[in-house]
Amino acid sequence: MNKETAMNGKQNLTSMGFTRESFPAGTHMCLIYSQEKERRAVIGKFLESGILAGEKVAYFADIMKPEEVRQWLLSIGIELPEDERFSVLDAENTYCHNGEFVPADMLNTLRTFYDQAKQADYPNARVSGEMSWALKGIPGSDRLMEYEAQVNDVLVTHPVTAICQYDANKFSGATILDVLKVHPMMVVHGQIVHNPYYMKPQDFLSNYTSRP
Amino acid sequence: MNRRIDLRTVGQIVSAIGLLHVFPSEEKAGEFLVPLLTCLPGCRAASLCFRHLDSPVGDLKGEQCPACLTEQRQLAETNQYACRLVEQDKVLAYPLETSVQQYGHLILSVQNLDEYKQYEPFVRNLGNVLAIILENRQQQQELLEGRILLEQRITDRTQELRRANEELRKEITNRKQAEEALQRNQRLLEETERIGKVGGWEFKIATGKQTWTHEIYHIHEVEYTFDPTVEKGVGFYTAESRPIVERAVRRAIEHGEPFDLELEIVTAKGNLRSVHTIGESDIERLRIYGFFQDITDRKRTEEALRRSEEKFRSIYEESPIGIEFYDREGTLSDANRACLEIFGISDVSAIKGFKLFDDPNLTEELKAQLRRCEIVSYEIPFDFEKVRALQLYETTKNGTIYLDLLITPLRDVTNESAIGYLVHIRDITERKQAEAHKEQLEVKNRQLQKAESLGRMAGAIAHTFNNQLGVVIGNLEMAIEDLPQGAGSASCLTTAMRAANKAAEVSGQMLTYLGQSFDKRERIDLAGVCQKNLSILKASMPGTVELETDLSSPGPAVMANASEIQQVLANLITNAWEAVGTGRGSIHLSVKTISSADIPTAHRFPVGWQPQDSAYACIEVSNTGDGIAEKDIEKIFDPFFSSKFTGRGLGLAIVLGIVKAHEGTITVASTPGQGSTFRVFLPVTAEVISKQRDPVVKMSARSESGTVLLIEDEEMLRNMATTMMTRLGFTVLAAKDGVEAIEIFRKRREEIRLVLSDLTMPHMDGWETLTALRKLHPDIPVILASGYDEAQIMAGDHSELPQAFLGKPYKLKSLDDAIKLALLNKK
Repeated sequence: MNKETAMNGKQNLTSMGFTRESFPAGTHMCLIYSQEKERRAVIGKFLESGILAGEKVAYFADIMKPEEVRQWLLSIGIELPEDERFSVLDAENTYCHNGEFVPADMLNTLRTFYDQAKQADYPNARVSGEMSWALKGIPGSDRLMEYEAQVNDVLVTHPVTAICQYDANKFSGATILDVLKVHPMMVVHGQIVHNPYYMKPQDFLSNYTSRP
Repeated sequence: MNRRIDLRTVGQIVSAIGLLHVFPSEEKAGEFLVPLLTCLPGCRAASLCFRHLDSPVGDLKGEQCPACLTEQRQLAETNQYACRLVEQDKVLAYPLETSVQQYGHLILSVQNLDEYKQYEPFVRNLGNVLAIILENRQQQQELLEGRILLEQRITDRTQELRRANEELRKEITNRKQAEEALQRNQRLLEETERIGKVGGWEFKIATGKQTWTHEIYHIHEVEYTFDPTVEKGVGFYTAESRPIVERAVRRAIEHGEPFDLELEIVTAKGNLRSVHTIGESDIERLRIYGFFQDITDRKRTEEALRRSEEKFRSIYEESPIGIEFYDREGTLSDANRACLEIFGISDVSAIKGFKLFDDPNLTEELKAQLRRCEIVSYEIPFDFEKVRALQLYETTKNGTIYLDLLITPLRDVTNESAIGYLVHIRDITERKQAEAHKEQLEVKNRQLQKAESLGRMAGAIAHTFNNQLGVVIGNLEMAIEDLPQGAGSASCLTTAMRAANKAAEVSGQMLTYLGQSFDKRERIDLAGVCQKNLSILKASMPGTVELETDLSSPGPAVMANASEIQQVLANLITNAWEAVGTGRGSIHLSVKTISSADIPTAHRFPVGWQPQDSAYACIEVSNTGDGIAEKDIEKIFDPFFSSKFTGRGLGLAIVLGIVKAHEGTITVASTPGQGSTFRVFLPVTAEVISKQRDPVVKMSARSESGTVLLIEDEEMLRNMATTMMTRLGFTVLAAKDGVEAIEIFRKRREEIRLVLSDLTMPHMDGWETLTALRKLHPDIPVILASGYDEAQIMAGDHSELPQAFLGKPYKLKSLDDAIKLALLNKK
């Protein structure tokens, strides 16, 4: 199934909120940032546009507590749905369900999220995660890039629109370069651009796993 | 050789340029760029050498960095330096520099220069952008630091300003509070001045300028626009006060003497006011200043208070009630004049300090009440002997007086303890004595009433007895007259007649004791009557007793029955020599006239007798006998009381009866062992009795006849009198009372020549009957018969008088004489 017709068989474009253009549902983006202001400007719009579009929206918080996220969104004027349409989850619990990051588990979680949205007739589904949990030394967290590469394959069949947030202050420059390699799209200066570093998951993984 | 450029590689470099800004440090940017640059076509290795880092980022794979940067740093501060690696083959170093500063080098180890050369512009551009970013970051850092510094300065300055502002605000607040306090004080001062009617003034000696506060304007009743020069100010004082204040001000100015004066001013509106002015001199500042107060009200109040004080002091001092003040300890602090008089004290200082609770005349119970703060009201006998015995104070009083005391504890504010005691004292000795006397009088009065009751009963018995004896004597007389000569029963009837006469005599004495004797009274010379009987009395006295007399004649004249007076004298003299007894002694007899005021009140009989006249004749008989015991004096006039073995006990009783009948009194004074004195007082008279007709006994010897109307309620007497008058030749119409008599008289007025009426009768007495008969027949002769004394009967105002009086019991002859007298005196 083509990701552009995943939900209703028609081309499925969705607004990201912070750009004029619409992008296909299931777009996998990274947000490399060093300013919290910049991060909030992008993510706030991204979540708001999803809620306004009636999509099923999930947010995985790490640098902020879930309740703080809700308070922040309310403070910038976003009306948060009371039901399951919008959820804020703890990123560590979500990615590392049993205290260990297992990419396959998280990929299944992503699939399940999409399936539930589909069953509930949501037009689309979108997520965004704060990825700093990966710097806490949690077992399996070194497999993050492996996961990120595989996500691209999952999103083909389960087109969940996603923005992965990486803080340049916390992640090393080399990791940032890897992040660029596994995200086909990236957010630069508030614009979504095609990532020239992006590598197909298999290419990346074969190269990545062969590193000393 | 031209090679085809890889757009993807170019895109990656361009994207890298776009991403540089997100890396927070050179090191992070280096970490990102080194792998990127290493992958450039023709490149073997890449490194980034940053000026601020000790070692390059990245590894040139075998090329040894000569640490040019470190050396350069050591040489001198410079913005430009060269990388020495470029001196080696296949090493390219691109300076990371701007027009301001060089930040380092981007160094590439190239293995295929041709292949690389196509991308060199992009790499050079990347290096430039990185340099610009670094410069920008440095500038931002500097800007940030500058901003932080500025903000810190602003913060510090703001805090300083805030502190200064706060201090200023506090200063303003304090100043405002001070101003408000000053205003409040000013208002308070003005209110105080107004309430206290007091103001302040100041006089500047140098300028002659005087200043007043508001209240002084008000006191002078001038507007605030008034200019208070010294001359004007002094001008308000009265003529008497002005020189005083002028002198005081002058001395204050010249000698610095303060002054304190109470004077008078006349205000602008002409009101006289008393003022109090105080002035003090302030030589240093060349001024005098002071205080000025309207004390008119205070003066008035003081005057009122003084008058009130005087009034209450006068009331206090002139009060007939004694008043004492004691302090909380019960120590006397003051006493008024009445109090001093009651206690016989000359001056209050003599009793100051006297302790209330030491008063021996105050019982312990009363003291306990006072200590409990209770009001004490009581009457006590106050014994001055106790005061002397305890030497409490000097007093001129003796014996015992009776006091009515009211002691009021003066309570303090808590109402629980006394702060002093107020004592009201009344001397109630006279009242007590009067009450005792009244009680004695009441006892005597009861005795008198009892005696009078007994007397009335005895009198009634004596009169009844007299009437019955009259019947007996009259009938015996007629029976004896009717007896034939030598009749054997004559001696029996004569004996009966003697006994009846003796009984009538006793009955008469009884009436005499009761003051109901009927003996006739006349004006007599009392001393003369006494003198006349003196020889007989001396004859009966024992030789051991001497009789001294003082009987100057003519002495006082009295209306009396001479024989009764003789009887009085005989009894008193007999009583006197019997009192002397068998030893030697003397009796003194005198007759004199004395004022009623000099009649003793002690042992005076009858009890309750009071003088009705101004002068009384006095028969005084004193003896040197044993005297009479006090307890016996009240009894000696009782019938049948006698201290002598031989006495009958009627002598003094008869004397009292006679004296009482003569409206006189008898007093007894006796001292056991020294003798006794009896004084008989009789009212003196200056004229003869006018109303009493002196019978002119010129009665004819011839018998009279005619009809007599006899009025007598006693049937036996009526029958006897009927028989007697029938014997005397009269026809008798008998009536049992006045009513029946009037009826008979109406019917048979023409034949009735004479009326004989008893005095005491039921329905109408003798006087009423006489008056009624005279209305029917004004000239009808009337005889009134009575067992009472004629003088007593005739005394008083009577519209009609009888022609004759007939004493009961009467005999045939006295009846005949009375009839003849009545007919003779017929109008």
